[in-house]
Amino acid sequence: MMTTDGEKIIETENLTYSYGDTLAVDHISFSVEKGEILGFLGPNGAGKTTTVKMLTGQLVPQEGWGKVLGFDVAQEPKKIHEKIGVCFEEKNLYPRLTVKENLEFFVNLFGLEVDIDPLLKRVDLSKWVNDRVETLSKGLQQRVMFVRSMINDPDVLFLDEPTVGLDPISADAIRNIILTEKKKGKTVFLTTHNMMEADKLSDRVAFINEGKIVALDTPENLKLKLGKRTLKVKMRTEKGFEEETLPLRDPETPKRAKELLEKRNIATIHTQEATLEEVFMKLTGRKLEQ
Amino acid sequence: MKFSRMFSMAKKDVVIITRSSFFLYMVAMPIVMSLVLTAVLGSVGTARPTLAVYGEGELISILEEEPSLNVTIFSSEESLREAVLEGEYDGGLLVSPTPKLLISGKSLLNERVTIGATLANAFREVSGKEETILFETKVIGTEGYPWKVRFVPFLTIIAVLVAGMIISASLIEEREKKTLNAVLVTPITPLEVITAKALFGLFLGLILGTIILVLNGALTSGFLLIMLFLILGTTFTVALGLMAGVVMDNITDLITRIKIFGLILYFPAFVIMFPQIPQWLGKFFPTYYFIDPIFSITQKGAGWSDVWWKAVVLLACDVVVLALAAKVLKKRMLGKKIKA
Ligand SMILES: Nc1ncnc2c1ncn2[C@@H]1O[C@H](COP(=O)(O)OP(=O)(O)OP(=O)(O)O)[C@@H](O)[C@H]1O
Ligand SMILES: [Mg+2]
Repeated sequence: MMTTDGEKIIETENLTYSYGDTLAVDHISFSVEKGEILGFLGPNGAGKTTTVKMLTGQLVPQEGWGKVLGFDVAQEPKKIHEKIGVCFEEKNLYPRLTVKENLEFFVNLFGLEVDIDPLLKRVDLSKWVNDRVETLSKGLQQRVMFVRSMINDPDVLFLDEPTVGLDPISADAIRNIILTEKKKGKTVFLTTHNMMEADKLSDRVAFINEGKIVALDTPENLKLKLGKRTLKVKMRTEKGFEEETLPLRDPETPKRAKELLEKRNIATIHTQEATLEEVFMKLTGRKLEQ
Repeated sequence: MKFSRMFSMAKKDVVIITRSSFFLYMVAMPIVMSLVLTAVLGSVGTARPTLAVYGEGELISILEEEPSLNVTIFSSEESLREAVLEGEYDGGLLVSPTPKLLISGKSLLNERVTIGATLANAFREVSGKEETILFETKVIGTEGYPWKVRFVPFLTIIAVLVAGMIISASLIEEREKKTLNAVLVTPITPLEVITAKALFGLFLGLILGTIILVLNGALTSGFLLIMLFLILGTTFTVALGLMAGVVMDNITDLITRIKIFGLILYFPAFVIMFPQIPQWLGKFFPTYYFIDPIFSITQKGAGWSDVWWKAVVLLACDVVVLALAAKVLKKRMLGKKIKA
């Protein structure tokens, strides 16, 4: 590969997997470039985790192919494993080992010598370093999960709902780390059903529904193309308040807005951004979060 | 294959075992059983052999001074015969007219050897000659082993079975808790994971087996030969354990199965424990070729020439289960589908 710019770190074509009769991932094709964060957004059972499992060599694609860092996921998984970090959806730490023992074990598996303290500090875990994982709260365990995925300073991070169950401060700490890693040139594959998170972090967002990618673009483009920006006008009446929503792109809107401004007692007026949630609804008729 | 990764894996398993009451219980079980049996049935091999003596002369006083024997003087030949026949003494010596040694069928090999050697020395001392002394020896009473000794094969099987069980329980737990998934997305290969667990199991079985034999006073001779059979025997249970570890879904399932299949593994030990059971029945079970040689070596003084063919049969059993295990593991874990 010649250029760093536009280098494809993750690439798939017609990637497919079914569990028996359940078609979990249905011929999906996409690519992620170096230094890019791809948000993989979809409701429960959409096929996000199954995609991660195929890309990380835990499941072998039944059709199509996937490549990570130029290596085929089915043929050379071990070459990939050296350079990736995986944060699993299910918490799979060794409960009877301490935080430190858990992390050091993985450091050893990579054959590295890493000082884990700075990483622990970044997610505010230092206090619990010698506590057994089984005694930690779910949120703390989730932070250990995230730290574990970073232990080998991976080139590619596969994060399957990394902020699930975290308090807002911890979640933000992790989001900031993800952004810092991106700045260092790391590539991130992030699954989530939190549309705010996807919007804030992702360079591009893929909407996945029933195993298919239904849209893939930057969050701005998705909202511009498919979302509706509106003008919300709140007016005082004798009985209380009255509200009117005007689509921004409608040619009638300026006229109607002027009318309201002149004739009515306006309380508030503001434009409303489209959200990824609305875009997803429009595309699939389904809600992201149940 | 990278040794350092396998070592990390095994090291982590050791720490986990020391923190799990289930694992600790498993390791402690054969040791505690040995200690309890020693307390209840008395120790074997540590006490001095008992010798009943009837007759007169210098020999008697020499024997009475002998520190390696516990000598009792009898007043009649009949009462001496009776006592040895009943197994109350390991041996009985009739001094005149020609020396005659009666050995109880229930005495152990160690004790027979000690009595023989001590008597030969004593005779030499009396006659003042360096030549070999011959005296008539006869085993009387039914041949049999005391309870304590008959339990040793059973305990030895438990020791190697525990090694296999710990390996399978540890694999099941890694699959259940999905820690195996996390391990397998690092550079360690499935084959290395399995090898690490297998070697750890082998090591555990060897250590535990040795401890059990030592505690039961059975590790007196043929050390290397016994080690060989311990390795071959543990290989058998570890291969079974690996197979169970990838097939079974939880530890409760494993324990239920062991209650059923364990009987097949224990049966040859029961055959030795109860001489009333036709002894040839044991030969149909693979573990017979593990404990029978160990029993022969430790209690009957058997050597390589006596037991080599049993080592071959046991090795063949190992090859069969290892091949089976490889097939199952390949399908479940090492092949295209990593199922955890
Ligand atoms: N081990 C399995 N056996 C059978 N079906 C499965 C298995 N794992 C997932 N599925 C099915 O495959 C489909 C996709 O599941 P997947 O876990 O990939 O979804 P997801 O997008 O990660 O969902 P979530 O947001 O709930 O994590 C679902 O219909 C699910 O029921
Ligand atoms: Mg999922």
